[in-house]
Amino acid sequence: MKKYNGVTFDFSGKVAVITGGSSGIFQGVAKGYGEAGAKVAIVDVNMKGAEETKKAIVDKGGTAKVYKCDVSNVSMIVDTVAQIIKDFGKIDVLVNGAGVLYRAKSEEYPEDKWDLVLNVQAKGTFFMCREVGRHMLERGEGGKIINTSSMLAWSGGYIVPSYAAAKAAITQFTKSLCNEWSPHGINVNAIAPGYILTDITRPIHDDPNRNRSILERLPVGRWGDPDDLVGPFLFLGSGAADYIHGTILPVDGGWLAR
Amino acid sequence: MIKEKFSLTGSRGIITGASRGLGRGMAEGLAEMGADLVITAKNMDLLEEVSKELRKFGGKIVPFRADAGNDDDVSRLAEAACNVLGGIDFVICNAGIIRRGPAHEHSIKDFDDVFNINVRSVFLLAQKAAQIMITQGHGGSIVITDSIVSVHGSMNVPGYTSSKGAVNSLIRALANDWGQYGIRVNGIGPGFCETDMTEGVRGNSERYRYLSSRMALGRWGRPDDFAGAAVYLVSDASSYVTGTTLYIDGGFLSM
Repeated sequence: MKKYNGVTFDFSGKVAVITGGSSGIFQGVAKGYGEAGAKVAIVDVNMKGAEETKKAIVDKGGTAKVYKCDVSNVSMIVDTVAQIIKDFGKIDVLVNGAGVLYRAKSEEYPEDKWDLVLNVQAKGTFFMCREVGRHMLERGEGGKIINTSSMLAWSGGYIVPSYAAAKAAITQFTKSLCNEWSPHGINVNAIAPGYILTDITRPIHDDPNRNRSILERLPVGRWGDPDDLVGPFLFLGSGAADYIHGTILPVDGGWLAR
Repeated sequence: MIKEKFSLTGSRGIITGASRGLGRGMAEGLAEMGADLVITAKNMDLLEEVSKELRKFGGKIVPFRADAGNDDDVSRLAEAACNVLGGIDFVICNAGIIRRGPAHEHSIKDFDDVFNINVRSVFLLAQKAAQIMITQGHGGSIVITDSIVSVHGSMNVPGYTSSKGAVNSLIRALANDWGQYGIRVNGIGPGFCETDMTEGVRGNSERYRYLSSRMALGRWGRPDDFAGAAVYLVSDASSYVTGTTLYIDGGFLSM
């Protein structure tokens, strides 16, 4: 029988780049890749958190390196990706998790915060894709790129207009990149997390009114844990997902279904 | 260990329509990851052959003859599987049929036959399985084979397209009703695949060329493209995923 070799979820010999790997969901994702055998490049501006992530991977016998990079700065992206390729020889998987969020009413929304959110999320994600995607094309052995969308690519959210706009942008160019690169064996997809309890969402979790309305809508009746995202991000990075291209995969406890 | 999230050792489930095509591809992935399975189809000879292959992975594989168009067969399936496996942790409602014919000529019998198997019996099996899962008290995962036609409409298969539209909605309805019991309900939405079901359309060179050109990846799906997704959706790796359809289409919908 034909051996289905993708379902082992073993990343030994693979190199995974995780942006935003210093905290929250992507600290968990970075650790997950490390545990599954990948060499992990942690890209972030928060070096303290990135070092924690690295230590957790190394303590379990894995390999990891940290790279200080502000992904809203394209020249830093270019240098960082070049350095990662120099250090590890190649990149097999890119997870774009770096993101920021700023809450303010739209009638008062500050221009600099709008630019910050769009630049880190949409621009940062795209240019990470551009640099790593070009490397994958040149190398000619394909690869996996996983971007981070959000429930707010569907709905508009509340007092986070820049975040909603940025996530919608990421969602659409994920499909654009799929159309260009899938013939070259590069899978470009996105995961759309729902309400996951992290530092970013803690303020609404701690607001009793918002928390109640969120829980009332969630079919599974609980907030997501960062650990709930590890499986989905590993799945899309694995051979199990070879025919999945341009898909947005919600991981939301049923939020969109209700 | 992270890989245990994808492990199905000790996990027990049913997959319908497992004798060929995508169902067979998914069953192979599940068996390889250690699941015990009741596999169903109408053709017992084919099913025995598949069982023999799947047993190489070491799990318990039980072939069960079931006609997805027959209420009695479907009704007793969940309980029979529960008895023989000692419980049910997941169900993949995959059996389906297609009938071709332009909408103005599509017979109402074809329409009814397709709905009967693709929608009605899916609901019946999911319901019977959920009743068992609720009694067991530790949740479960239900996966329904959806299709990209629930998004893009396709041509000359109005019964099939609307049946997949119906299960696309059913997935969300069931996720909402059963989330409180820890039962996750999701869809796998295949694109165009090289299976017996698409023989009719692959035989039409003009349609074949057109459809191929719409896939970003440029190739049709194969049964083994679906093994990983089946493993993912019934395993703990997708613990917070419910009410969604995972499209596996080589980039058809992105074009």
